[in-house]
Order: sequence, then structure tokens, then C-alpha cells
Amino acid sequence: MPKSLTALPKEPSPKEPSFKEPNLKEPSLKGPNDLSLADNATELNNKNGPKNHLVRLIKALWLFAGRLDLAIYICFFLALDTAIAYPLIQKSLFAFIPLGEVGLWTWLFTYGRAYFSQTFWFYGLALGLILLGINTFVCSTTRVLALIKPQNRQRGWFLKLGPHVTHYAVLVMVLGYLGSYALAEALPGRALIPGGPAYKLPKNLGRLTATIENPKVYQGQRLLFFQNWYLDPGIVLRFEKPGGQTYAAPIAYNRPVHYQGYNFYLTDFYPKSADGAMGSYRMAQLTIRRDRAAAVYVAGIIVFAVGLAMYVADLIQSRLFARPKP
Amino acid sequence: MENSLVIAFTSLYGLAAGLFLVPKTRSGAFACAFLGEIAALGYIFLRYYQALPMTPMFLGSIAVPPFLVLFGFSAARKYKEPFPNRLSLTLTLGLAFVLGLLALIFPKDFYLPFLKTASLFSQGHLAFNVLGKAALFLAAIQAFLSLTAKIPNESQVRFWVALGFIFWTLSMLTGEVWSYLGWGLPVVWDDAVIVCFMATWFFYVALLHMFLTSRYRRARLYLTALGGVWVLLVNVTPDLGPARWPVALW
Repeated sequence: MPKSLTALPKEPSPKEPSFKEPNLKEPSLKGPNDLSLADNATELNNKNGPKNHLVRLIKALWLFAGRLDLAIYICFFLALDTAIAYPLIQKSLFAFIPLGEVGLWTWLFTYGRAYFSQTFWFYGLALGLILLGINTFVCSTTRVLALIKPQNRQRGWFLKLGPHVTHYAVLVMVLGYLGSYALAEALPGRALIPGGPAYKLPKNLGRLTATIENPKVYQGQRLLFFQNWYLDPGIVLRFEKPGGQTYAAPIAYNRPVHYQGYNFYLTDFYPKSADGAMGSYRMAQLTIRRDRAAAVYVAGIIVFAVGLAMYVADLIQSRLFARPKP
Repeated sequence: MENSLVIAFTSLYGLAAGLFLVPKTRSGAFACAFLGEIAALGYIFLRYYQALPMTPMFLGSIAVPPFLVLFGFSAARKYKEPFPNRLSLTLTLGLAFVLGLLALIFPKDFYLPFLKTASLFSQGHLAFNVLGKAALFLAAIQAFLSLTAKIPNESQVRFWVALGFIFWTLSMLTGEVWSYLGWGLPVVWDDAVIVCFMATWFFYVALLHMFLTSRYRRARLYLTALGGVWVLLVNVTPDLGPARWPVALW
């Protein structure tokens, strides 16, 4: 059995740091996990603190920007802002669908501006997210800096960084989404006829053809409407590089193909049914996208999972090494 | 058949809710609630049986009652005294009854699924959404009970809010992955419901942060109770269709 489980000191000595059971119900007002900014505020008002007005101003701004209250108000604002967006989007869906096709900046200055009475909430969302991003960064950084101070390092202090890691991860994810909308190139609605002429890919990437192999259709009587519908049309994309090399990959709904930095998505397939009225003609509709920020939000999701695991490990550790109550 | 099951579980939940308030009818109430659970789970099974491998459409609210009732029984066990226990169960079953009634009068579950919903991420998105709604509704009921009690049981409220938020976040993450694999974007604006998910997520982020401070003691309970109304307005109404007279086809 580890020593820490059997021989915990009754009273922690002031010189040697020992594990302190975190109070999960009510955060204490002092210590590295303190969620108020009482300590920093005291430090700011301390007579021995920095006298330079500029430094004090910056410090005051930093403290204000990292306030927990501010996060709460911003989140409630964002909740209201997005809630009122529902009827507005429903009323003018045509103005929002191009957001994923033309890119964020173009959309903001075209559709966004032209239909401002329906899109104003989107500007509110952007502003709110920017403010929340600043607040999250300042708040998390302040607490991380307090946690990593040598005098605050108790047993398992590293795991206490878990919630802050998840906060940073959310920031990374939001930046990834922003990058995805701002930097992505999209070529929607590219029609490709399997067995038909080749499609010339952009940026001299070569040519694209398609064939159909092993399509899967909906079987059974459970939903009569879908009888013989193509669940997977069995399309195989063949890429031919300018040098003559070829690369083939199957594509289906929800199963995109990645090629030379571009993603190919199957948007639609005609005819829908194997006994459809198109005879032997087949047509696949593809969307081609280049998303440079995809790696950023995938990284954000991974970091979020790591942060969550650290948080859970910290909770388990707190329970395992908790001192018994007298 | 499906409509008959909705009528069955709605009326059984309503009956159980009433019986829990009447003394010495506890066994009858439990029996009604149990039969209601079977009918509700049977309805969900039928919807999945028809739709698989696609995801059933507009199931996000009508599938909530059985999970709400399951969570509700788990939460009611924490009350040692009989009255708050009975009141908690009555409110839970009453809300399940209201949700069933809304689904009956404003049905939208007759829509056929679409091919892109044949994805594990789409299924996960729906399942976590249902569990999230159930937990958040229960948090609202527990907050209401805490507000009316002499000693508020805040740990119970916080637990259900946190659980509901975890489910909601997982629902959003799986939805984003599905959206990325299907359309190439983490957020697709073709469906206005996407903003309703965001709205509730932001609402509960704010609420959870209120639970992290020693302030807002009363306000956070009021807001958690109001959260039930919020979820009903923002996330249940999009799953409702135009009003129709409920017809059972046996």
C-alpha cells in the first residue's frame, strides 16, 4: 500500500506542503483554485505593489477582462442572441446557406449586410465569441499562473490544470471554426457522371473520373418509401495526376475522400432508387472543399479530451487520497 | 401503432403523476409508471426499427419522457421524507405527461429520415440530445423543489445540471463530427435548429459558472428552474408540428 494512504499527517505542517482535500461544494476564497479574484485585487491595492500608473491600469484591465461574472454575462447574452436567431434563420434560410460556400468574409459583406435585419444576431454572436475568447484566455491564464507557482504545488497539482486545459481547447476549437469559415475554399455542386467524361480538378491537380462498384440498396419492408433506394451508391473516385499516376478511393455519404489537401464530399446521387426513371444514366453531385483549419479544431477536440481526462483523474485522486473526516 | 403507444404512455404517465399525490396508492402509481415506461420504450424501439440504419426524424423530444422518468426515480431516492419524494415523482411524471401530450397534439414524427443520417455520429447526436434534455428537465424540477424546501438540496441540482451539460456537449461534438463528415463544415446553416443547440449550451455554460462561485445562491436555483422552460421553448418547440387531433390506429 502506498505510504500516503496509511501515514497521512494529522495536521499539515506549514513548511512541508501536503495534500489538501479540495472543497468541491464551495470553492475557498484563498488558494490556487480560488475562483474569485480576491487575492489579485488585494495585491493590486497593496501599498507595496506597483506604483506605475500604466502598469496598474494594465493590471486592472487584465483583472476586469478575466472576471468570472463577465463570462456569465457574455454567455447569457450569447444564449439570448442565438435563441432569437431561430425564427430569423427560418424566415430567411436562403441568406444563411451560402455562409458555408462563399466564406465568412465575403458573406459578412454581401448577404450579411444586405439582409441585416435577419443577420444582425450573427454579428452579435461574433462579438460575443470574441469577448468570451478574451475572457476565457485571461481567466484561465491567471489561474494557471497561480497553479504553477512552486508554493502552490500540492500533490497532483498538474491534474488541477484539467479544467483550464479544456478552456484553452474550446478556444482552439472556436479559432478552428473561424479559420474553417474564413479560409476554406469550396466548390459546391460539381456534377460527375460515373463512366462519363473526366472532371478537371482545380490548381492543376489532375483529372477525376468515377465508376460504380457494388452499390448497396435499402432492403426490406420497414419503410416502403425507401425500397431499393441507394444507401451507398458504391462510387469509386479515380484521380489521375498530371504525371499519369492514379489514385482510387470509394466515396459515400458521410465518407469523404481526401486527396492532395482537398476533401471530396458526396452531396447527392441520382437516381435515388435502383429502379428509378433515369435508365442507365447516373449522376453524382460532389462538393470539393479545402479546409486549412480542420487540423486546428481536430487538435482542439483532442486537447479537450485530454483536459477532461485530467479533470476526471483529479476527481478520482481527490477521493482516493482524501483525509478521513474526524 | 406508434401513435397508440404515444397515447398509452402519455395517459399512463399522467395517471401515475396523479396517483403519487394520493396517499396509499403508491403501488398503483408505480405500476402505471412502469407500464408507461414499457409503452414509451416500445415506441422508441419501433421508430428505430423502421428507420435503421438511418436516424429517426424529430425523435429528440418525444423520446425524452422515458429517460426523464428513469432519471426522476433515481433522483427521488435521495429524498428520505415521503412528501418531497412523492412531489418529485409527481412533477417528473407530470412533465413526461406534458411532453407526450405536446407530441400527440403537435406531431412531427411522421417525417421520413434522409440518407445522410445513416451515420453513427448522427445516432450519437440524437441519443445524447435526448439524455441531455431529460437531465436538464430533471435539474429544473430539482431546482424548483429546492426553492420550495426549507433546506435547499443544491448538490442534487448541480449534479443534474452538470450531467445534462455533459450530454449536451457530447451531442454537439458528435453533431459537429457528423456535419464535418457529411457536409465538410462543423456547423451547417441549412437547418435553423443548430442555433437552438448553441443557445442552450451557452445558457448552461453561464449557469455552471454561477455554480462555481459562492455568490448567486438563490439566482442560480431560479435560473435552473427557468432552464426547464428555456429547454421547452427553445429545444422542444422545433420538434413540434402543426396541431392535429390525435388518432390511434391499432
